[in-house]
Amino acid sequence: MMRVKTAVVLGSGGHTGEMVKLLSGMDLEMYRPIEFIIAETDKMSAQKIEQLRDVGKKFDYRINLIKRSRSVGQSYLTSIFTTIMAILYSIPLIYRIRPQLLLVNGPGTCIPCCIITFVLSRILCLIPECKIVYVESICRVKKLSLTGKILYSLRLADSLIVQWPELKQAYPQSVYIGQLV
Amino acid sequence: MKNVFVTVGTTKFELLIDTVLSDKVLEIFNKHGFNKVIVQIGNGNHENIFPNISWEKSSIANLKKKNLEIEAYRFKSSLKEDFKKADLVISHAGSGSIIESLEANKKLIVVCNEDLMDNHQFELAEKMSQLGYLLYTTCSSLITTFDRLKDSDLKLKKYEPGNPRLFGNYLNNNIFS
Repeated sequence: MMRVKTAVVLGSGGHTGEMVKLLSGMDLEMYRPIEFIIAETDKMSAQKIEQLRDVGKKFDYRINLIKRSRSVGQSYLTSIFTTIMAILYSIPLIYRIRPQLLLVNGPGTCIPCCIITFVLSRILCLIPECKIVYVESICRVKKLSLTGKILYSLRLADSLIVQWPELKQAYPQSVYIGQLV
Repeated sequence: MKNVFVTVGTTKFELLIDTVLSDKVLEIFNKHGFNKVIVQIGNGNHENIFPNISWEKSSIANLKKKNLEIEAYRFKSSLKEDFKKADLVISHAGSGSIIESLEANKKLIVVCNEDLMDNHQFELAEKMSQLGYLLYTTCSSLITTFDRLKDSDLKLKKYEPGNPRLFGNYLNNNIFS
């Protein structure tokens, strides 16, 4: 069976909840091992991941901790600095993981990973091809989140998936396949 | 036992809790046959109503007001049980709370926190309200909204949950086919 090594960036609260639901709809025998990338400050996400463990089935995953690029409410000026630090931390991590798929759904933590993955894989060709898939939160009905807007305008994602038809209309390059969570 | 479950999620919504526990609203709950109100208060300061409630996760405060049993706590690791036994849910506009309540097939009133007007959360509450899954209101209009819920002409639609399998299939067919 084809295996796809998958990296998943998890963020605070609602984002993790949605990502766990998305993963539950995937064939985890195919998309494995899963390398979770979690901000150091996030205590809850590791617990939520365990919900995916099906009794009897092997759930092949690992947790990697990363410095957070921007905290909720942090000023945009200091965010630039912390984002640069996060980007630098991501480089050895992504290089080591060499994912074939990078799954992200929104927290600021995911942008450095997306940029690094794109650069290492598509521009510098230092790691094999990695598909980047971004799923916008169900909360976003009319407008993309800041993360979504950045990824959309930089065209970093192979697929930028939205969960409401209004967003597909506003962002024609996005993908709409229905409500996912 | 007919229960109302009020949830404010991970932060706080003091105005909602104060409104829900006001004499006027409690009388209405009484009138409509509710016996118990369970309030999940988050980080809110409600010392005037619950002087004994601590910050410990398991701390529960109880009191009786207007013939109703009132139970309050800050947080629980899972609200599943409280959603399950509720006959009516009154919730802040957080997506997690909204979806959990709808998936439990509960009558739901979502209350917008006007102090958080910039918060993107409202888009979802508004959309779900347009789709007919819930009623969406503010603290000041809670009473009239509650009356609407009792209106026999009002039919809230049955919630169709999201389907993560669509995502799995998309990946298989479009990204890694």
